[in-house]
Amino acid sequence: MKPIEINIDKISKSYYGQQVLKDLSVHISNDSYYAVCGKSGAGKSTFMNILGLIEGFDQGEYYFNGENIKNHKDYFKIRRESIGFIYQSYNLIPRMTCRENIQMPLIYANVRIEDIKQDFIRIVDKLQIEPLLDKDSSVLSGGEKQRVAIARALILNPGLIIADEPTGNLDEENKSIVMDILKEEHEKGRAVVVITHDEDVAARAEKKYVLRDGKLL
Amino acid sequence: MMRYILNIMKTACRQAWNNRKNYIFLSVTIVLTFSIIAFYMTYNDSEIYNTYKYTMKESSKIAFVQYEKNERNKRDLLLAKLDSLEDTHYYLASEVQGITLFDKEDQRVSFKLMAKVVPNHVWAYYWNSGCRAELIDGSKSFDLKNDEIIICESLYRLIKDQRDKNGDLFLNLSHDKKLKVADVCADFDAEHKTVDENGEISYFFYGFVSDSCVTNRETVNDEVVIYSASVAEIEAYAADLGLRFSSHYNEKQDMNREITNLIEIKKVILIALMIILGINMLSSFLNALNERKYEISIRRALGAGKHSIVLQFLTEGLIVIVIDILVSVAVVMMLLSCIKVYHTLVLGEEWIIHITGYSVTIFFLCCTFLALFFSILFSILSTRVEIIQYIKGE
Repeated sequence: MKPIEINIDKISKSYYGQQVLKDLSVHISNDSYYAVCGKSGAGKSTFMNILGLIEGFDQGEYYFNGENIKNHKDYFKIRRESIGFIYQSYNLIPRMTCRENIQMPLIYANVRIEDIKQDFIRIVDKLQIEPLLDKDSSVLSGGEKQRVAIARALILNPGLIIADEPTGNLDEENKSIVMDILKEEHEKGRAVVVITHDEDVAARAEKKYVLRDGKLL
Repeated sequence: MMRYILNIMKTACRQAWNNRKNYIFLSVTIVLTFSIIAFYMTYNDSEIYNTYKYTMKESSKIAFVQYEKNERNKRDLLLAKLDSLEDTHYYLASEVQGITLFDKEDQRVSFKLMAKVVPNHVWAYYWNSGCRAELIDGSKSFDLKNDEIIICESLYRLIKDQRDKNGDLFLNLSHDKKLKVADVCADFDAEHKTVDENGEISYFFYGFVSDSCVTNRETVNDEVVIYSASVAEIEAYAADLGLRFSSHYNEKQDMNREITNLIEIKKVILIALMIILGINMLSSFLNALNERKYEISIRRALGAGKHSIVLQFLTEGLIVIVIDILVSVAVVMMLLSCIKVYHTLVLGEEWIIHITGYSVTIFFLCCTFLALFFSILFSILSTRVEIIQYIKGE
């Protein structure tokens, strides 16, 4: 498990003059399991993108494991090694099998599947996706796709999982499965940040934040 | 590092296959582009060749000056002139014409011999400026004794079974002259045939005899066979002497000028084609890229660096272009074959597919340039994809 120590201090972000985040501060470490709620347009996705080093910010400081994050750089390496993303729309690559989708981060990390075979088998067994591995990702149900996406997020053993409405398109049964998995992963020492509208999902987190007026409250 | 690069390239190959339906429109454009370029160049080459194929075979350095028996003094002046020129060789020759070898009166067919009277061991033997005689064993030197003849291969095939008990082959000429066949030369005009107004067919065969074999009275068309780098000068001198001069020098000069002009026009048209087709290809590549922006943004979000994306899409671009170039070459060869069949079956004329090394080189350079340019452009544009714009979030 990779250690996580994130310090976000007074981050601000605007789009076309419209302030989305203002002086947002948060601390995240391996024992964090946060839910971030808020109205539509509150800036939850923006916060998630900045946290996940996909997007830059206008003002403030962001330290990821002691490294001062600058806007002009692409932190693909940190994203790859330390952060696992789970999206509401799964974001699996079409015309690729589930196995190829799950193992894709390994290519960029230059890790051989043989070296992490045990971990791969364990993740596949836990998520019960072994029968799906050689199927095209586009033919799966929503629950199956989300489990494959979770497997992809976990394959490199990241210290932080960012889940953007992970249960938004799922039925109750699959929603429960996904939340159980996130809880388990947190108990193993992974930091989990869940962006959600769902109060049930937010209730499963250890701490609930509400994004309002650009700040986490 | 090597493993990393190989993995990215394997991914590229798989993705090129997985996205083959998306690449079809792009491939059609690429195949069309390269087919047009290749067809233009090769059709041009073939048309030029078929227009000038006979002239091309002629040597521009070979000339013949004919003289009558009463023009020997003029001939001697010409020979003195030739002796003064550098890189000039000559010999005297003449013809023995139309000796009937045998005929089939019932079929109204006759077989006749046209023989050149030549000295032994000269620099080359030419029937005319386009037809150089060589023995079938590849030797270019003749060594004829009295009463010996070198005959062409097609005549040899007709009489080869008529050997005497010593195994020698003789050619019986109708005026009771018998010549021993000393050797066989390759055909250069295998079926020279004439049909007269009465419908009688005459087949002509070719041969070479030594000048000691025939008398002066039997020969016609005395000539000086010349090899020289100064053909234009010799032509002018022969004209001054009033001797008949023939060579393909002027024709070849005209042909070369015309080919040079055509090559210049070809260059201009090729550049114009590349610009027009390149614009078309660019829009096809941009369309293909649009289809992949979602995939690129996911890969970037999951930790692919820009260099990985560049390598993947560069490889994919090159794979698609190389395959399409091969397809376009096959398409063009098929088109040219159809044209050849059309000329042969419909127009009843020979049409040879001829491709010059110059065209192959230019096509290869065009392919390399377009392939690298568009693959690199494709890969660079792929890194400009904004992750958050295409990731389907909340």
